[in-house]
Amino acid sequence: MLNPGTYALADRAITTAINEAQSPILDLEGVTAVTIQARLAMGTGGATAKVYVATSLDQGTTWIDVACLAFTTTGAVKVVNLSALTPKGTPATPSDGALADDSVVDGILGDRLRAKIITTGTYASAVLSVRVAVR
Amino acid sequence: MTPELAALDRALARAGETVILRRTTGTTPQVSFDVECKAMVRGYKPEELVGSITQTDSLVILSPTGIERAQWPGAQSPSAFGDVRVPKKGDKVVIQGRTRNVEAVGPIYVRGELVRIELRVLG
Repeated sequence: MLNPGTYALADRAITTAINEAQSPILDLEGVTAVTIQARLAMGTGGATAKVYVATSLDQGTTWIDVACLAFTTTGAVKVVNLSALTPKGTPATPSDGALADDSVVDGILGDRLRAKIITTGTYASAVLSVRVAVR
Repeated sequence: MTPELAALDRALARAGETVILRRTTGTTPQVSFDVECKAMVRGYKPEELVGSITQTDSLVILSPTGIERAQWPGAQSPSAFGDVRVPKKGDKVVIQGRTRNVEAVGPIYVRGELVRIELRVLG
């Protein structure tokens, strides 16, 4: 692939409830696998914090959720792995910020990745970070 | 790549040192994202010690090449503005194991392309 490496999809201090897509990481043509780590570094408060990692096959017009990592009020680290080489025989319907908690859609990886963060409740001194190791 | 940027990359490859550029998010707890860059680090010359610049400050000259390759500092919130590749006050630079604070930043653009970043670091 063009640019294997570790990228930051999000480093977001969380306070009030947000529904916010971060800017995408681009130029990942040829990606065959992605390992995603989401970390909620916890302060206090909050209710739910979800990270939807999405890819796009049309230069960002349509975003396709490929992983959802969900947190509540406890600091935690969650890791998943995706492969672009997994056959996808049954058509998948793209969703944007709507994947089930702690689930993945394997086998679909485009040339870009982004994170959408959706939180409820009010957090204090909490940071949600997402790293991807792309190769 | 502009000739100016190519020349800087060659000079840094020949005579520069590796530093770590660090963006930290949050207060307590904090999360950091790093990128290794080639840089030229030097103190200020006596004639450059004007205004708030002191002898303990250092000038760090960076090429944007490594920053762009790593897409540092990563994805940004929609509220971010300006050239996100350019470090900002409050970022850190680890130079020979010592973490120093970025105090001032001077990006240099040639024909609209970022070709050089100068940082004043202290601490």
